[in-house]
Amino acid sequence: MPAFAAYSLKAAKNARVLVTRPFPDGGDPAVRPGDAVSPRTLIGHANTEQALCVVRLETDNKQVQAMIMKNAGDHVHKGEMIAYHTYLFGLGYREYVSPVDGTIASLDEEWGFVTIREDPRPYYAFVSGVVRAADQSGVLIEAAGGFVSGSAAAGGAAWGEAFVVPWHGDDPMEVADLPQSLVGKVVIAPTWVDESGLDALFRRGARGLVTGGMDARIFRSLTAALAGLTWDEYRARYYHPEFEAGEDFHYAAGDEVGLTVVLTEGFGHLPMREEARAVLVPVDGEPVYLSGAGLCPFVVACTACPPESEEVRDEKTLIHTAGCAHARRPDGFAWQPGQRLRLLAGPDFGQGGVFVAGGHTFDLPGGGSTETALVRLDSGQEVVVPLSDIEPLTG
Amino acid sequence: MTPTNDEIVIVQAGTAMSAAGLYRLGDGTVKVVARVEAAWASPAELLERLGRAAGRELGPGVPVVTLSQEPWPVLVAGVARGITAESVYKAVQDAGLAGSDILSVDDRRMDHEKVAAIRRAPKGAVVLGGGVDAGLLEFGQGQQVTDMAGLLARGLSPGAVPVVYAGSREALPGVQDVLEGHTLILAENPRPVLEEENLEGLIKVLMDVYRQAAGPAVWPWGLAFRRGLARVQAALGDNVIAVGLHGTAAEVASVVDGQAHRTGYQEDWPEPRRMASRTLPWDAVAPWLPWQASDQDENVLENFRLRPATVAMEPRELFVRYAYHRALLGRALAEHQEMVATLRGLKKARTIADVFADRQTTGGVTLVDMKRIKTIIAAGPSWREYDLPALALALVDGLQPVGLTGLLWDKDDLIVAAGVADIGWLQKVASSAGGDGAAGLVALGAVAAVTGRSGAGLGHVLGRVEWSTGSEHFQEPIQAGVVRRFSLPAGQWHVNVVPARGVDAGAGPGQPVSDMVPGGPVGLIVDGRSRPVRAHTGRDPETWRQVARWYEGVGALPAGLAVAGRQAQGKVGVK
Repeated sequence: MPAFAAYSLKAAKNARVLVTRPFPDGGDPAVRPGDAVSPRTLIGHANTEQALCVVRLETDNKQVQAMIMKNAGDHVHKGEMIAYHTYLFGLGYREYVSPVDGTIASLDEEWGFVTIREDPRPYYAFVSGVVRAADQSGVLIEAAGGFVSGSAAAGGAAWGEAFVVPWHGDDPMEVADLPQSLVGKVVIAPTWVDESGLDALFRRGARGLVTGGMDARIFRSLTAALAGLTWDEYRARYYHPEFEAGEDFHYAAGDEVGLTVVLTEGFGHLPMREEARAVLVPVDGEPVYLSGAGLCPFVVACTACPPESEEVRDEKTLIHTAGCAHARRPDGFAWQPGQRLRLLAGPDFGQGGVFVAGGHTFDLPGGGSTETALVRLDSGQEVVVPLSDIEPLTG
Repeated sequence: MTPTNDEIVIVQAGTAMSAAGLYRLGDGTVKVVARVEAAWASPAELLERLGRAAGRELGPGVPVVTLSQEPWPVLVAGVARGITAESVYKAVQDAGLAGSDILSVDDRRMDHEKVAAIRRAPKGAVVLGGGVDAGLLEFGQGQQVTDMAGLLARGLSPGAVPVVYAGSREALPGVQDVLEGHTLILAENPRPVLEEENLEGLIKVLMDVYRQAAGPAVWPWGLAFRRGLARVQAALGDNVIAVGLHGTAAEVASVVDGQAHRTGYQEDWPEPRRMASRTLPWDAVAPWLPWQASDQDENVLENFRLRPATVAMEPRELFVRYAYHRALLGRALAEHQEMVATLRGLKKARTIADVFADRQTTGGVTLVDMKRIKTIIAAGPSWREYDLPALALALVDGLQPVGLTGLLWDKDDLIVAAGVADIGWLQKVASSAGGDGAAGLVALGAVAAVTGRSGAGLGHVLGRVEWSTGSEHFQEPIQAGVVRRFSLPAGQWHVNVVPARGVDAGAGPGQPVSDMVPGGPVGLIVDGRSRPVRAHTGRDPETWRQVARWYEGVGALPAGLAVAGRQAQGKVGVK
């Protein structure tokens, strides 16, 4: 499971967000700095110049023994048969299949080498904004909207129209609250999601999920089910009549196959924190961008907000999503009375509160000591916890 | 940087807990003047706190060395996976760095997959090895080294990361041609001939490359750990293994037959050799819980993985971490044992007798045999959450020693301090390690363990343990499947283990073992569980009780609930 380490959890209603859209194996950008992009804008292709796959056919005396079914220049799908070979009077049979989607670049009938060039994979913006940088490693887009950092996630980057599930207190998301079709939608469930809820999201074609928490067992089965799936397999397994054919259609909605999930709080029956709800619940029907890849999952809401003047933009908080992987707080950080926080351990895990006072220590069983803080929880209860067990909530 | 002063500040910038310590020499021992630790703290904040704790300003005269626990990735490329690539990988690990992938001609990946792996792998540097120094071109291997350099050229942007060449000198001109435009740094070939492995030259170059990136006074934690353990072992004399625990990462260092090696196991890291997830599955952790595992326990573990610097606040959190760390130690040790092994690829003359021998070895036999390890040392911040009996049992469960083994606890991070200091300083550190532990490593006690009769019924007698403390003599049976703890005061004591027929106490089936072992607050643990120790499988809902019995046997179950006791006292928890 992906880990996440940040010095604080952010939730901002109105922020400037620098979103990185990387090309993992290098790529060719299709946009330039200053270009305005929308979620469906093609921003580049994966570089496949060097992505050549070689399949070797059986040869004998400089003659290919297999029956070749394709010609140079033909397009092949992953798993499609390129050639077959029968031997021992038909008792033995072997198929040669393409390991990738691509085009046959060359056929060497003397030595049996079939070279296939992978299809260039498209990358889309998924977010509205302005391109600030673009090179072979990826594209940096400045977007404006609400921002919520998550605690854990599965899947890659994705986007879709937000569907906000009604809030029922601390109970799990109700399947009855979901429409029959969620194709292309990002579901925002302000509580937490159980097994039946997750299954319903798959069956109804949802593209993403943002929720407070989920049992680790269910999360594990989710990541295992999606591991190594192709879009063809995904479509077959979770068929929905509104799915369109073709991988481009899917890549225009998400980088990876399947459902991107962002847990804002962590694992367990944890409802979304108040600050995150305040940002995400009002964006029902608006486009939402999810980043489930890497160490720092996050959500950018209202990604199609109209562009603003430079003056207005300068007044907003700038959040750089690429720089949150460091586990230490910046120099000079100090807890101040009244600072919003949440608990990271103990029976009140995930509960919000405010910092009241610090400065005491208690001894650890194996030696050494740790500093403690007095915290007033949102429930009104006051608790003393190790300083390492609280996390600031910032805007 | 090698400090020569009598005082040194060591800052440990952790992925879990960060710490800083001021160490001073005096009366032939090392003393910790002050030590502070804090989650999430920056090095500057730690130094400020350390100054406050020491009661004085830490002036520029006191050298500051930072030990980084964050893995610094190095991409390894070689010719034969089990020979040159393995040696280069070993040097990377010994340097305290992390191998992000190992490429070789026989790794069963196609060229385009290797190029994609080169691009994707996290990397601060690349090391290319391969081939012996003389006669390489006669066998065509020189071309393989150049081919691998060609793949690197396709996958790397020129100048983006330094490429360290530690391969055959005969292949160097070809490699230089292929990697023109890249920053190429030359290092000694770790396998100049197949029969010889010399890693030090490559380690030194890797350290120079690392310091150029991280700063002149920054060391990888793992390097300091390995060097420090080698110096502590010089004082102890016997084979020793040390495990550093940092939240979700484990460092294993060993000194066996004079060879010091280190491996790091970081869960979030891509598995270098198999490219699979290194995250321990829940099924490997759950069997170590002293109760029937539930979804809530798994949630607790996953939340701990997200925030490994937290301190457990309730018994459930504490015991889930205990269970997890046992599984983590076991996996980290297995990886260490796999790497620290006899050399592969050696030509060996065989006689007809070898053909009929029980076991034929072709290299790759581990040197870290737990029957030969005389001392286990716990290090790192995560042990601080353990009561001492629980700590000792975790070492025994995770590493599963056989025979008589001393257990020590590096409470004040003296091993890494020894790793970064100069020789004179180190001798004093080392000399304190074998003493009463007041100023050195804390002697917890010892374990007497046997193996060999996995099918013996619970309580079946597998032998006996005899020891004396001055005028008092003791004798206790070793019972199958049972772990018990007996008082053994501080000091060095003579202990005999007399196994029953067919039972091995480290010297072979039925052979008695006798040695001096340290006493301490934990005392002597008598372990009658055959190796490997298998916790319950989860199929039988009642078998978790045996894990609870093991905890109870060493007194760790009630003591482990101490945090709950603190909550009750109002020191932590509800005000």
